[in-house]
Amino acid sequence: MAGINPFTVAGFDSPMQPLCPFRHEHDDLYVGVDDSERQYERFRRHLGDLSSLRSDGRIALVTGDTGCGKSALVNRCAAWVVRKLTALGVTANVVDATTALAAARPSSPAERLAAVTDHLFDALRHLDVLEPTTLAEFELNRTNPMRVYRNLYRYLRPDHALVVLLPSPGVRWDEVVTYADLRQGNVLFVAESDALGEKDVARIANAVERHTRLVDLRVGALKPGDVRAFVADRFGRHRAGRFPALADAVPEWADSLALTVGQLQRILHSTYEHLLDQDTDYGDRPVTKEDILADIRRRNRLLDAP
Amino acid sequence: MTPNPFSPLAVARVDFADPAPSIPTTSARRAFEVVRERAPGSGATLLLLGEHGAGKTHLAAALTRFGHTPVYCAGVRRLQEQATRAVGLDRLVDRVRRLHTDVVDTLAEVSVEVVDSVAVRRLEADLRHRTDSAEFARALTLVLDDGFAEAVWEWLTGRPPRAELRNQGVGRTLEGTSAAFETLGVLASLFGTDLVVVLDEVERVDDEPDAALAFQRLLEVVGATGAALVLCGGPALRESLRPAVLERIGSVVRLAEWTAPEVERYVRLAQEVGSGAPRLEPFTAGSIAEITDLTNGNPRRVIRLLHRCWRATGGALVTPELVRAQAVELTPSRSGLVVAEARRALGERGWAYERDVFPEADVDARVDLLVTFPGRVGACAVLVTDSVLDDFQVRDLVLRVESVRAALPDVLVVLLAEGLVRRASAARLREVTGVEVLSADRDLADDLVAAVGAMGNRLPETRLADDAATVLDRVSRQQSTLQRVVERLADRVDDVRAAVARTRPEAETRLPQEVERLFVGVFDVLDSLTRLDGDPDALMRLVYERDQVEAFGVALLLIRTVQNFRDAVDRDRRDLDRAALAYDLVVERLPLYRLYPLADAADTRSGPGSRARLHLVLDNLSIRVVQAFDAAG
Repeated sequence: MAGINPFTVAGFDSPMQPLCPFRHEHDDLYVGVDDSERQYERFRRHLGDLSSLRSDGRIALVTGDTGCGKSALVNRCAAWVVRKLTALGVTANVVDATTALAAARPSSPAERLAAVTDHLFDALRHLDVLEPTTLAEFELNRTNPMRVYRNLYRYLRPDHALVVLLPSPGVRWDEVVTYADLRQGNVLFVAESDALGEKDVARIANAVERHTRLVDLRVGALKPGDVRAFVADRFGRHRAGRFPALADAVPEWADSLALTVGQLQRILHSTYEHLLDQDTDYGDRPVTKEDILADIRRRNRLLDAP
Repeated sequence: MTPNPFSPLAVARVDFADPAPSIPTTSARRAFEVVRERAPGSGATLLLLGEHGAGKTHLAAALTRFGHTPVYCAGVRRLQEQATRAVGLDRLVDRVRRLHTDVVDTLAEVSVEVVDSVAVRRLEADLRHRTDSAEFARALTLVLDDGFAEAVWEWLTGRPPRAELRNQGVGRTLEGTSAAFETLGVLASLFGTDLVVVLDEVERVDDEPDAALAFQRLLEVVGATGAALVLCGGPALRESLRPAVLERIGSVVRLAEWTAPEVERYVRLAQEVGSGAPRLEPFTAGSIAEITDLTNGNPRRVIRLLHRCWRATGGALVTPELVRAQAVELTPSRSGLVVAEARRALGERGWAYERDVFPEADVDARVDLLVTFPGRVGACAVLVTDSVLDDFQVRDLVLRVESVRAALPDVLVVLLAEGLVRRASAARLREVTGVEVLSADRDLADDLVAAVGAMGNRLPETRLADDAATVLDRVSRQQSTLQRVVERLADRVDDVRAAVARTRPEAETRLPQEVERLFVGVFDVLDSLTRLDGDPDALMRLVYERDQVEAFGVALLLIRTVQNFRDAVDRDRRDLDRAALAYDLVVERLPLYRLYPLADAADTRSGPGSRARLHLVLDNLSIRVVQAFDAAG
């Protein structure tokens, strides 16, 4: 039987890409670690029957440290909304604007907003969901956020809804407030940030509470037992391939490190990949803590090399 | 021809690779030692004191070379902007990035993998610990974010924070000296031993209520971080510092005037730098001694005079006589220019001033500029004079200072010489007036502003906004109208004319006719020069043109001197030689060119030739008198 890496994600070339169920068959890859399951449920509870989303629009913010699974949670929530809207007879699309600022790197608040609507126009035209009669007007206004969002219901074909994944606001809590103000019916804004803390979230919630309720979701580091659950899930999916087990002591040791799910995915995938490359005795003996540490050292050496 | 090895300006350029030659004086060596030997946890704080032109800036610029991050600030005005711009955004970002790397490395030692957002939080906590300020910590963390760097930089240079920065908890504007001192402390905490800060041209550090405390704190931070802080100013700066501040300053170095051997060393060094040979020629021990004396050993003036002497001879022998001539040449009458420059400088500072003030309508108490300061009682009187090279000028000046003080008791005096002040004269003036004489070099404006500012700081403070203006009010009341001044002046002119009349030889003189003719010739010419009656323009000139007033004084002295000479020889012919010698000793201090302003004014009234007539009757008068006696048998 051929050796495989049980931590590889189907459909992705990098093991670190966040799960994306609205594009791939990833729905059942989610493991209920680091509280993410509860956060997902919370999101669904907040959105409920989507009536508030359909009438006034909603905004969600996911916070947590780098690698805690924010993007995966965002994608999961977006996929749920699309599914649910579709079931209601509404055509729903996800516009991923998270990289809208990457090229021009605008710095002023206004330029950041405009870069997103500019991106939005191209993305929606590409999706062919724009109303032909207002296309020229949208194009003219594409860098005017106020006009774009106010008229978005006219620019979209009837019975169309959008989930807009926003670029990370970083520390800019006020930007989240602005998007809350700009939201319109049939539009869900979703943002994620690894720099906003609980205090910032409270500030945003406070600032928008008269108009809407912020859906705030927070993910954190893995909790005791999460490592074992994650590993068991991944091992369980690959019965066809050959790969080594994890030494008994590893999950407990890894729990003690308070890793993020991203870190866990990285160190396990990398260790298994390295052992697979060595090939000779892959699958013959369990992977130990020493194997993992050796792999981390090896990667750090490569990173530190001048 | 060998190029002139001496700088015409002798103003230190704050060029961190300044190749201008320096001689290692004891004070300079000491300052170098203090800054060089700092270490983490043991920073250097140095108070560098010296007169204008003593070389503080030159030395301070050299001291900044002991740090990779030199911060030179001229005065505490807009210090915030000066300090941050001296560091620059790139250097700041680079430094914070290095701190971030340190944080990541530290985290890597204790964790399997470093989480980016955790590292950033740890960096901010580290910055908060270093800077003792949540605001600076936030701003400096944000400087690593391209989207915030510009806003943070603007804020650090003193502009109000942009909305996006306010939303991040960076709310106050860094304005005023206290905030600037705090910022310097933050820079010290960031850069540590890499940072050398020079605060040059400082008059006082407590120009606002919290500044002294902020400065005290800065000194502590500098000491703890291993940075260096050099505070430069005039001797009065030390007096302006509170004891709590002074006791936190590690070292005090006073830049002494150059001695003749030091001037000689400088000449050799400059020539070595210029042409490779450490020669003293074309200068001699005598000319060096004269230069040292005439310039009071002030390095800037020494170098300027060296430059002039070299230029005058083209590198050929420089004698003491030539030095003296050049010293006089160095002081062309440019009173209008000097006063205009001074007014501009004072105006830029926003200080109120009155020009040409004659308190009590007293011509002797003439004040060129009377400056008042908001929140201070009293005023600073700037008296402008020519070069002060002899005792007569000293005496005149002392008289003038005393007259001003008598008329305006709550006024502090600053003397401004339009040229050089001989060492002995400077000492005497300091003794009598209690103030240093400023020499009007090319950077007069800065020197004057510093000196006037220092005086302003010595005036008692008041909470009443009106107090500062009261001096000017009183002066203007005393001064009443220009008419009254002119009347007083006219009286004075009459006195002079009366003096001339009194000295007219009596009919029953026993002097030989030829001798008598010589004296009468002198009196006639001086009489014509001082005859102003009925000429309002001439009187007005006496009010507004200082050289006219002084020429008048010289004329009066000359008349009395000639009268004494005549009386002496008239009394006893055997005293002729002694009287002639006494006369010569006096008149050599009264050069005829000092009467030129009167002669030129007379020319405009009654045709040219007055200067020539002056020389005709006064040149070699004593010799001609002796010869005339001999001829008469």
